[in-house]
Amino acid sequence: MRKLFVALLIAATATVHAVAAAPCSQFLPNAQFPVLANAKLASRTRLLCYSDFAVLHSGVTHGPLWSAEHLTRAHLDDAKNEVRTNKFFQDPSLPPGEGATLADYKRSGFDRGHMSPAGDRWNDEAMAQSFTLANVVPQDRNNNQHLWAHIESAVRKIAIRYGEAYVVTGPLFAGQSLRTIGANRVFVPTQLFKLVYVPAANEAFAVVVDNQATNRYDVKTVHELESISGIRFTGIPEALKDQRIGGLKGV
Amino acid sequence: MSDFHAFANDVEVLNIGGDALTISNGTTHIEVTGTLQIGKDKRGLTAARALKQAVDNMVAALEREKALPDESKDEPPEATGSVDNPFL
Repeated sequence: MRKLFVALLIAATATVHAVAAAPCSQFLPNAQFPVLANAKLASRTRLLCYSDFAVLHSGVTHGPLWSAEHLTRAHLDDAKNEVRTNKFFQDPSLPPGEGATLADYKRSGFDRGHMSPAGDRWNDEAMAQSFTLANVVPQDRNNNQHLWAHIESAVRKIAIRYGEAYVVTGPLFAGQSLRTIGANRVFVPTQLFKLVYVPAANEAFAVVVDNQATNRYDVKTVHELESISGIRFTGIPEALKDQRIGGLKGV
Repeated sequence: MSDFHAFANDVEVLNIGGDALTISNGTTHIEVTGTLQIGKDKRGLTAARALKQAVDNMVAALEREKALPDESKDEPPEATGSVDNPFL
């Protein structure tokens, strides 16, 4: 119990500092940053604020722990018009050694899988920013291009239908041993999650997929995701955290 | 908009219609993924032009190559490393 208390305290302190340093809480449900209930996740984390999404970056995994966005019908309509050439880039705001490099991904066999997707970005600046390696994880290529793309699209449709949605996307690291890519040893997630909160529908749920070529996705309750991820999503009303939805349309 | 330099780098991604269609550049191959609906409207024209420019760029880059092989072999990916999970 004592250990847990210390863990929560450290996570809470880190969050408070993050809020003070960078005001991008508008992308999160009820403007509350996720809390790292598993204190081991908090090591070498930095909050990175972009113009329409926010990332908690880990210098341990060399990638995001979560990436948060607020989708609105109007913004998604603008996003559909986006036509531009983007470039993946190493985030200059990260100290050397903390972020992944382009070389880490080259010839890794993995896609640079966006957490907050490029397709949700509603202006040129935001879309360019979404290609930061701080917003991507090594993702199975087939998964990224098929199942995950369908999930992203289904979530966009929910946001369009209900006017808005808060979405938090991130990697999960399960098991004793993890795979890595590149000289920086970028952690390969075992699974990916996408948490969706739809205020107008009074609904919250999560989707979890294995980071491999698969057509299968699991619907989880928010409490279940909190338990698996070690991250507490304090901005989502407690009353919604045991809801279980049937599935996603079109996936 | 047409700053896509076919086969010149591994970092460029041309997004058309958000990420409905993405063209990911690479020095050994280019990957085209997604499903793009091109409407008979201004949005459709913008998308069609972007697609055309990218494809024209690819064709020009390939035609500039003096000795194209019939089929190049993909290099196998590098082996992954492993690390003890520090979060347990």
